[in-house]
Amino acid sequence: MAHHHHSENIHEVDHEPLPTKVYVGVLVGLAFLTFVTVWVAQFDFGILNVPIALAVATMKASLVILYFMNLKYDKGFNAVAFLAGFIFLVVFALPTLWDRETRDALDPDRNVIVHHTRPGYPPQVTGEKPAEPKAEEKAAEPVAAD
Amino acid sequence: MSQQVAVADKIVRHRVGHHWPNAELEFSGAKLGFWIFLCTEILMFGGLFVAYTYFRSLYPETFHEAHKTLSIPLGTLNTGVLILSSFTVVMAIRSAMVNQRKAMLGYLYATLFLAGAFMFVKLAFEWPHKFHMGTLPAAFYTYDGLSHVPKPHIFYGLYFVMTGLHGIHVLIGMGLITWLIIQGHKGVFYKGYFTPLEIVGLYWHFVDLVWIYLFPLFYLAG
Amino acid sequence: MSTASDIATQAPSMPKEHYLNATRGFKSWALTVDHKRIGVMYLVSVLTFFLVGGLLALLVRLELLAPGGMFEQKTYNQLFTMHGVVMTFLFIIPSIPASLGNFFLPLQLGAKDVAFPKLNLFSFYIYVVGAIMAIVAMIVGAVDTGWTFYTPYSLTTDTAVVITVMAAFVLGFSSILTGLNFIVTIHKLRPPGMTWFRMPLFLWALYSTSVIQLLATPVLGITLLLLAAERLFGVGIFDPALGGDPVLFQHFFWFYSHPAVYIMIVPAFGVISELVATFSRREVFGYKFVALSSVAIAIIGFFVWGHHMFVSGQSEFAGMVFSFLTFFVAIPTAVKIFNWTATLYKGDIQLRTPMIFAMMFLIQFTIGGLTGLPLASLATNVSLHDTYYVVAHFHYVMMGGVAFAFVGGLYYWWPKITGRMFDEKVANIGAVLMFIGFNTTFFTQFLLGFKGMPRRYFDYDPEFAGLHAFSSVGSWILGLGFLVALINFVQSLRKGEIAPANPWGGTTLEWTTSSPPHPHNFVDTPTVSAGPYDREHAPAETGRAAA
Repeated sequence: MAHHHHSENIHEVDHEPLPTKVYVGVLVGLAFLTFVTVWVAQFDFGILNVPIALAVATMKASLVILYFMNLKYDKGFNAVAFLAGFIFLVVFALPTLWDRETRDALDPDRNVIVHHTRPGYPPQVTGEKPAEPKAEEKAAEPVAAD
Repeated sequence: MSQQVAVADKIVRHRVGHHWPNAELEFSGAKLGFWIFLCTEILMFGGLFVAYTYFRSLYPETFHEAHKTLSIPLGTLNTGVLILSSFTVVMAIRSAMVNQRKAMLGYLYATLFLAGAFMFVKLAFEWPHKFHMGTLPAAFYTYDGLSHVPKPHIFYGLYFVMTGLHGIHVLIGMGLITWLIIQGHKGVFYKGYFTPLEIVGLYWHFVDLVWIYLFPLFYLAG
Repeated sequence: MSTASDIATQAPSMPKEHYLNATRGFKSWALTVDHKRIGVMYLVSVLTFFLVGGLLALLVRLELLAPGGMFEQKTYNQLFTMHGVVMTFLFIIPSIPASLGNFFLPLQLGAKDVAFPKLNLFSFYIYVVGAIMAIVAMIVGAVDTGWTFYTPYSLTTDTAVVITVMAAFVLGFSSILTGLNFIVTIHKLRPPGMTWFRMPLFLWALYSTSVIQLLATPVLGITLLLLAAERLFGVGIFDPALGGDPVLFQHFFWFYSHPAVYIMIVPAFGVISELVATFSRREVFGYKFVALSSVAIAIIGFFVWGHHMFVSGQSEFAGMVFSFLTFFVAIPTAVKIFNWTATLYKGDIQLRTPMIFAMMFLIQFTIGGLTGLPLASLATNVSLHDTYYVVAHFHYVMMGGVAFAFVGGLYYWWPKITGRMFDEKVANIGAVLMFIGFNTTFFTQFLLGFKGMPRRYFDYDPEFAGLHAFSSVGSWILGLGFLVALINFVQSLRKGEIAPANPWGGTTLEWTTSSPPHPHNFVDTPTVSAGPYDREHAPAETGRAAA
């Protein structure tokens, strides 16, 4: 759809489609990446498992968006509208996840960081060692509601 | 595909709406509107992905253990089915743009069949298995094989909400494709007018996109 | 058939053909795709729900008239929840955009209709379905959670939470489709010469509002779906008993519901810009800044939701960041207030009814905005958050701001919508009653909040009795003011003078067409060659307003 031929007929559009081989190529690429993602899933990369899976998924998504959905050759503002969804999703996600990471994190009296974000689990203390005895520290720190 | 241009015996020629200056603007307006709609879809599904991330980081061992109860072969099969259906829908649009009505209809029927196959795998194999095992949201959770990890019902709560909402989108898509087939038989779509095909195509690709992320996050990444 | 020459003669008679008489009968309205008729149907609907929500508010104030009250605790909780749900989802969110916006967006733009007329009608019917669901929920078990549906209480109450949140979900869908329609219309249907910076400020406001509707509402949608699923199946993510996090629910909820207050107020800003420009007989001072400040509010509004959660168990770190960010909203808001004030300066001010509402808006919204700053600040928020101070602040912005701007805009465009003038004396009496009633009701609540009166309580200590009684009496005066306005509108429909095309001396495109407008808005597609408030190129001022 790269070329627009404006005819005198205002009632009908006139667009050139992409060649079939592009679509076949994308299909093959998607099938290959699906194979890759299933294949790598049998190996344990520890903390990298999810990033690897998401990276492959994003490659697949890019192929679909750019060629099947034709965004590569489309009006620029359509891409802006679509990307706004992802950008504002990040605006939502980051503070929300960040809140939990930092929840109950500041305890200036004892100069420690206390994480007790997980219902049913004891709080984890990081930072400088507390000046008070440990028994008192535990008593002073309320456990997260569960 | 053979490239002969088969002009349909009865094309219903399109007339632009009275408030549009020309067909180009009408077409690009419809597309812009639908890209904006897809933006809202991203944010709606996105909320679920945020919830997924929140609880995955909270209970990582739960997600690691629970994901093993899902069937990778069935998930992979359904991934392939949806990818193929994305291809057939894009070929349906292309066929309309070169006035090959029969090919367009063939691709649309293929898309509808693949969508049905996806739902069949879901509803005939995957979900009944979970109902049987009791790997369900909290209100119906009865499985005892995951008692060594915390809150396993949350994994299944998210699994059913996310794949359920995706499944509803597949069903809506099947309705839309059926409508396209009916319109296509009437001769509404041709080189000069294929807006509904284009729009439903975008919708269908989006449904595929969601699955492209759901598949690794639930079935693969431990 | 109305022609351009008919308009040029400006005879104070109804045009032969206009959108109200072009077709007749129930079906011609029920199946219309004309944005003007859809706007009118929205107008009737939102005003109806404003009445319902207002009566519920009067009942709430009646309970609080004196200690002891008259309702059960649960009944009171249901009353203020219904008041909140009706006013938020059925009145104020759709109020200006769906009614005045639908009617005037294409007219001010110079377009024949919105981009997707059928979708526009569909969106109205979705609104109707949502409204019916909300009413059903009220009948089968009015929710008592507050309009925020906070978990875990919303998971355990025996009231009709699922139907209510599904109603709000459906209403959100209607809101999304309206916003989508507006954005595409502004992008694609501007006539020759109508550049972005020749658009009236009301359109900039509607555009910004639509952006917020599209980016925020889907998150509300998924929140409400998840809440319903949580109640029905126990997803586990919002329910602390299942390992879930109620604070996460609040993140989900406020990511929509804070920007939602800008969905409510930004269209009101747009109305005020129109009123100030027309009745000061000047171009709006700093037009571009006022236009872009709407966009800025729309964007910044997405970064501040956490200020609703300072006392909810959100992390202190998140609280500090959200507090800091919240102050930034004050900047574009102040840009508007200062620019409107600068527009008034040396303006040829006409104190007509709509302008009186604009003046009242400026006073009340400024109070509402400034009292928001202590709430944005962490330390003061902690002591004010759960008191009547918040109730007062919120109502100064929403009632004193949005509702007053809505009524002002309705008076301003009434002659264009109906083709008839209204009695300005009666309108002004109503306006003064509303102003006195509103400030009596709600300024008192600032004082109640400072004294420590908590929000949402159905009863209170005798020390608060005097102020509460004063506030309740104010609510009656306020109600009386709205009643006067309602009677005035009805009287105008029955025997108002025939309105000319441009009774106020407005400069924007809607005043170039007949009152009421032609079914296709303009006989000839307008060509635009100047800014929206350029008085040299403006349509002639006509009729009795030329005095």
